[in-house]
Amino acid sequence: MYGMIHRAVRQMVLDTRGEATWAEIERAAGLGPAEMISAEVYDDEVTLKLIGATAEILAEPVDALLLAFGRYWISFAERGSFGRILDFTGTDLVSFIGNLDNMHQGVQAVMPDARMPSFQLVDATPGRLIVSYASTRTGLERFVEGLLLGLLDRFGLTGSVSERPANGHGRQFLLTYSTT
Amino acid sequence: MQIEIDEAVLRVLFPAFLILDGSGRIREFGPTIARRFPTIASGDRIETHFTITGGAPDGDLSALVDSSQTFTLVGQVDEARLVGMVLRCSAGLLLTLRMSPESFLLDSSDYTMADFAPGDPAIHGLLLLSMQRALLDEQRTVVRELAKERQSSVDLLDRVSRVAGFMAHDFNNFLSIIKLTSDRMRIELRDQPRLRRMLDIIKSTAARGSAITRSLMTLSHQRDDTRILVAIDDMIRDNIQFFSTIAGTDVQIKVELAAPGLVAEVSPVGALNSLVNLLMNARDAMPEGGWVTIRTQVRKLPAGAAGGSDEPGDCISIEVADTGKGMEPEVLAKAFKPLFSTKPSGNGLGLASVLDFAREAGGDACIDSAPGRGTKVHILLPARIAPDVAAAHEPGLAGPHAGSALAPTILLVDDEPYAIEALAELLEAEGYAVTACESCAQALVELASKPFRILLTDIIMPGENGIALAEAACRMQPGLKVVLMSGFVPEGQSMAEDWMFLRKPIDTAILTSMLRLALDGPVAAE
Ligand code: HEM
Repeated sequence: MYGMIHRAVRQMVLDTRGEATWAEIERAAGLGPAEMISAEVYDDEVTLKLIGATAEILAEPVDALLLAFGRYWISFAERGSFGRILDFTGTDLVSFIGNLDNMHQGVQAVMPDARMPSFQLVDATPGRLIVSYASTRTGLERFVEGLLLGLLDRFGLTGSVSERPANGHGRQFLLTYSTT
Repeated sequence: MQIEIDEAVLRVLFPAFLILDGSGRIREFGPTIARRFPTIASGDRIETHFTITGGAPDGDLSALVDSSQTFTLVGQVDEARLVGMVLRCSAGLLLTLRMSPESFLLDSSDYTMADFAPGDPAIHGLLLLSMQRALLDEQRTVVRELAKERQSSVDLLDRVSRVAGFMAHDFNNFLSIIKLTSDRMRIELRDQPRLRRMLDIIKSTAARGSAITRSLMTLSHQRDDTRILVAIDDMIRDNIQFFSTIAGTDVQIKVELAAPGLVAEVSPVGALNSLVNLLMNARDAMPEGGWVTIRTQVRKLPAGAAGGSDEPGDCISIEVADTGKGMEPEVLAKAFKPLFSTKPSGNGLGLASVLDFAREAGGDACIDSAPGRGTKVHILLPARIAPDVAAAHEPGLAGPHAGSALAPTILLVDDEPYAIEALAELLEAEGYAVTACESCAQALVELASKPFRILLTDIIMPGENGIALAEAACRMQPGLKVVLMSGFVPEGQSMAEDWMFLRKPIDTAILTSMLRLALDGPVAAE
């Protein structure tokens, strides 16, 4: 994956645990600043090694870490250089999710080696969305769940996200939230 | 042709639409207009908010109906530009507008995807722009981070090498004691050849150890990157012991030196560092063992080599070749990049610093490698002819003993009690009258109480400096001869011209001939 993901993992650890813990993770994963370049593509194995080492040092299960990381990613993007892109994608949850594919396609023009996911709004009623997620990768479902939670946070909504048994294309997630 | 479009569809297709009535007043407008131009209200004249340019004669939009001619509206307040065509609808005129690219390129901060019709190429244009800005931003941060990281690696190396330097210095003193003590024992054991042979082994092993510590001490002068003339062949020869240690027991070193008498203007620390880096790489490339050849040659430097002159000239080529596994082309392509490393614990500064070293000296470095064919790194340095360095600096090799003075007096100063003991005994056996001191302060007391012919002092002592002592001593006793001892060559320290310098660990033969020279040489005549 592109190094922007690694940078976000690092920032999360720095924000929550501090520099010493990050140094420990870098050592455990055998990575350094050369693996933290946003616009460089790294083998998914490098990313997995980083996630694995982080989970180990933070003594958290990988799934829990992926969930927390997904949620963190949205606030990380908001605060950093990618904030403008989030603003551009949509000003409310429904239009944002509806525009995600369009946004990723646009991003791909600058990051040609990205393997982009596809999100679709399968059903939308007030306070309840069903979103499908398709990807060439597997094992990122908890990350997606975290991202969707992050989006609820972003739009000031309280609610929950859960994976539903998929029917047909990709995985499906149910978002329920209060609209008041 | 009149067209009827459901307003909901209109809002999606042309989020920036405007509907004008027959008198040119605004009747309805799309969500983007509402957001971008909050002062617009139904019933306003279009001219209140926009200047109509391009395509419409005298601002008459109805003239454009049913033509494919486009026109432009420029906002009165913020000069945002909207481009579109005119259609007739039941209410009057429908202006199918979209934001013109110029507007959002100049100020992209305010748009969202919903401001554009689905599939509008402007969306991707804007995303592209924002991503490029974002990545540029990130790139700046990354560059700062990498520079910081590099600096902290350099700082760490600097600390480690200084510690290594202190340790090497102490170690060298211990070796000095071992050598001196073996010399004393050799005299005692005159009639026991077997034990004398064992002493020879001890002495030669100590000598090898001290060759290594000398290399370590040079290396530990990390921060000293002043460029001086270095005879490359000699430098390599002086450090062979150290190179073998670095290469490890499984790797054999072959040295082929063919640049005699040629010097290069380089930092000695940088030169040694570069060779050490290359040897460590070679060793890592040959986990099963193999050969490293260090070869020097005289070659033509290609004109315009990095940092060099445009004139082609002679250069010294230092080649370090291994018989290891070689590099894949993609590794080779990145090999000189800072922070690139194929080793789990590598910091990726090794080869990059070799290249830096060569370029700073006006030369260059290149690699020749392929899988299965080993790796050859060439360092090319502009060559100079060695200036005639007088061998007079090797006083230990000077003339025979004149035996002019009976029991000449020596003031011996060293903070190491064993070294004092060994030296004192040796000098007494040579017929000198020795007064030994363990500190400069004590030496000054002795100097004040009686005359000496020679001051033989260590340079580096805890909290004290042998050079300062020598200066004071010469002021107190003007005819005094000075011999300084140290493991470090006291570069840059101000030493009087007629002082002599003896490198530790001390070679007994050199010491005694140097003392004789001090007493009998032209400057020493009394
Ligand atoms: C500024 C905003 C964003 C940017 C620049 C961005 C960019 C990217 C890039 C470059 C990748 C490809 C990684 C690779 O293959 O190397 C990616 C993957 C992904 N993105 Fe985004 N993204 C953004 C926002 C989001 C949001 C808000 C979501 C929320 C649902 C999301 C969900 C994902 C997922 C799940 C993947 C993983 C790909 C996979 O499943 O294989 N992204 N994104």
